[in-house]
Amino acid sequence: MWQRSSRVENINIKLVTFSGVVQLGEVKYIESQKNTLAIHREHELFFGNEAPFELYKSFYKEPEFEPIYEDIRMTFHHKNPCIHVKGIKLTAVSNNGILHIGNGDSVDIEAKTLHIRQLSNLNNEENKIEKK
Amino acid sequence: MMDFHVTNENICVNEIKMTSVALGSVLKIGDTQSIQMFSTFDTPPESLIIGPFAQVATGTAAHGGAGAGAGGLHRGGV
Repeated sequence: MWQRSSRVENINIKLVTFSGVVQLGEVKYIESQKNTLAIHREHELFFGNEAPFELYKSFYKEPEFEPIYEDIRMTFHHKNPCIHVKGIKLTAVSNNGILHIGNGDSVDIEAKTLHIRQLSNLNNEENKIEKK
Repeated sequence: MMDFHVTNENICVNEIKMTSVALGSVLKIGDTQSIQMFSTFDTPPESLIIGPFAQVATGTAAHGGAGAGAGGLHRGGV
């Protein structure tokens, strides 16, 4: 037997959001992709159909995941068949973050984020005048 | 062929306190064979647009207006 059991007595999470994942138990593989385009505007304004991901370099860059083919003979000896954790206290699991309790074969994660800020030039001029 | 032997002693953790697991990160309690992660966070200079609030970009109309501010990010001829 090369994998151990995980034992967690207490989990306390306040928030799981923006494609965060909490996985309890065994899993064969986790593959997760997430694109985020965050447009901050000085004033509340939403057009709805703007800025498709394909227009931005940040999103069409592919991750260079190498195939895993290493010729290694791995042997494990576990003194204790259990991983014991008394408590987990987490504020948030978000933006493609993963909390996994249990065993798994592989985890592949991709997260791409682009921030854009739009400020009004009118406001800035007003500020300058006030400072003077 | 390489021989790789690991002896794991007891693991007993009292408490894990974290603020957040975010942006393509993993907190894992257990065994796994492989983990591959990829994360980018981009805030290029072109991403600060000062001017009238026009749409950032829509489909093929990538240029003109405030959209030109983000022109450096656009793939040519899309």
